[in-house]
Amino acid sequence: MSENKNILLVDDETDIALAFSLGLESYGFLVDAYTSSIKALANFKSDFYKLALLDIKIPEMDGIALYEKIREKDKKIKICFISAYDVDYHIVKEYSECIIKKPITIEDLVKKINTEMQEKD
Amino acid sequence: MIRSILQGIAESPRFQQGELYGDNILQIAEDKFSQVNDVTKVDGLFIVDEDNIMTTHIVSEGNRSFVNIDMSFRNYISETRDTLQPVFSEGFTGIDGTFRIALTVPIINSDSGEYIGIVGVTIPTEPFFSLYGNIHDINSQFLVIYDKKGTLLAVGADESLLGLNFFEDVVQTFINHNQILTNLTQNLLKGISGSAIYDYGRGERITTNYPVFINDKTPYFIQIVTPTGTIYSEINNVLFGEKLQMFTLIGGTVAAITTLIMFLIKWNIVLDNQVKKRTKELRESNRQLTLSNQEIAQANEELKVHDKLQREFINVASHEIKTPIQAILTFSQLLQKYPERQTEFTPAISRNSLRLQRLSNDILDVAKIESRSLKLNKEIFDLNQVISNIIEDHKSIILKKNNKVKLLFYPSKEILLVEADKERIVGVISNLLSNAIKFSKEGEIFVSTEMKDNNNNNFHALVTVKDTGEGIDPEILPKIFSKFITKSFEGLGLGLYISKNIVEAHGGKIWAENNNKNGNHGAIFYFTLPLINNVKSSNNSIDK
Repeated sequence: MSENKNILLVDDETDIALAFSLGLESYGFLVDAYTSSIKALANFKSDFYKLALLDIKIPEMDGIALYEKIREKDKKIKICFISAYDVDYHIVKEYSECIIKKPITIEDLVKKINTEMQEKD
Repeated sequence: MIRSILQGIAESPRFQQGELYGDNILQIAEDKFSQVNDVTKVDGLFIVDEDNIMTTHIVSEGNRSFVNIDMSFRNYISETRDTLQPVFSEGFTGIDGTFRIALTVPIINSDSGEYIGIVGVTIPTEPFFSLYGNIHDINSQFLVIYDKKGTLLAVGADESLLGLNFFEDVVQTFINHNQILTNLTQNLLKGISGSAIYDYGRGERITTNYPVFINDKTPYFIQIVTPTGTIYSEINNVLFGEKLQMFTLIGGTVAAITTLIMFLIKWNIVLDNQVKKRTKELRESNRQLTLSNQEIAQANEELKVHDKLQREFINVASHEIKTPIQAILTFSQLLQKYPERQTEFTPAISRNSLRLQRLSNDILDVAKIESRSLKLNKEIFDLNQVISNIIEDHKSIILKKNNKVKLLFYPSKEILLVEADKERIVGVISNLLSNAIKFSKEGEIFVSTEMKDNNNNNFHALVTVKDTGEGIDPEILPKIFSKFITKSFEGLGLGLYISKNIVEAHGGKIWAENNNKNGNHGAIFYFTLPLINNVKSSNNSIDK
């Protein structure tokens, strides 16, 4: 069975969603990018994505709420938070240890994603 | 004393040799009789032989002498002989009717122990016991003396009772058969001390028992009878004296207490005044403290709000700076990797660079405002023309974004010439329009200008930007022109703060309200700028 390279990306900044999609795809990942968490959740496919990259501050439904909804639908998916805000990381850490701070280079983002994907469940 | 004299007789050589009569004996007896009478009144000294026959009898003047008579009938003789001990006799009435007691000492040969006889004295009770206290006056303290059979040897109550037994009818009748006194006397004769108060018809008395002990025997018993009236009068005397002293003392004490009370009242008034003064001072101090506390609490609250705003600003600023940087960084990397897709990536880089520029401009403007170093490059221009151009620019932006918002401009009939920093005024209007577009999404945005006269021929331009969005949150409305106030997920919340400062720097005013009239909704922003032109009619150029 081939390795699952599907990634869900949710970021309300259109340019960021586009840039990360293109960047990750250049490293062989298959990215479904959304600028709305509502739309991302509506189109979510269980047991399809290996990893989700969620912005924390998103209008309508923030990253933590989205995390909980996704987790209800998919127990296996790895979830990383990504944010440009100086968020309270100890609160976010209760949900996921994988926290990515913007700005980050594509290479570092890929490394981080690969490390997280290789982590055993 | 008497007994020792008699003892001396009994132990003298002649008596020891059985010589109990004769001239020599008589001489000795007389000497001793005289000697004894120096001590107390005795009316006879007698010597009896071993057969109880009186051999010698010395009597006081006027008394009869009895010699050669058998004295066996007297109990004290046989008792002395039987016990070989000195005897204090019971009371007895002599042949002459005198009531007496006798004191006898046995004469015993000190070598052989042979009983030889008795030497004794007879003592009239009345003079004898009167030596010890009053035995005559019933109205003051008096003595009653009994022998061990209860015979009255001396009695202050009534001399006629002398020699009678207490328990005889005569005596009992005299005391009206008073049971308290009878019981007390019975106890006395048993050797029991004690006292009692009684009244047998001659006034209340208190009587105390005193058994008389001689050589461990109690031959006589004394009652001291005291009329209580005398005691009470003495007590009264004492009490009266005490009372006087007490009154004096009480008088003195009352005077001292009165002085003390007066002093205390005075002191209390002084203290009360001091307390009132201090209380007033304390109240004032408390009031000041409360005010200070309220001010501190308010300042603290303001600091907390400010602190929270600062934290939020840093957080938002972090996001606003890092987001375009992230876009520029990633698109630059993509451009390096895929140079052939240059046309796809460079607009994004440009867009985010401009975003960064706007942000840095805003931050710099705030810094200038706060350091009071904001400089205005003023020029004269037509406000309507400038607004018209801005509207056009925003229309093209709306088109590009596929936004459904419609922009409508209603300029004033007059040309509105202002002397102002054009770039800054453009910034103010653009900011108001951008906000209106951002929060409207669809519907119409009305921009209008009017010329207003403030009644002093000082004209100013009134610019109105009215949207049909959700309106301004009532909580935010009062502080909408403050720093860091934003409901958007984009921007630092500095735009309106900068706009306000720019308008005010031009001598204008800026304010906002919600359009809640007639079922409308949305926000209305107004600002004014002083006009420099004379009133001129313009071409009615409504731009739609």
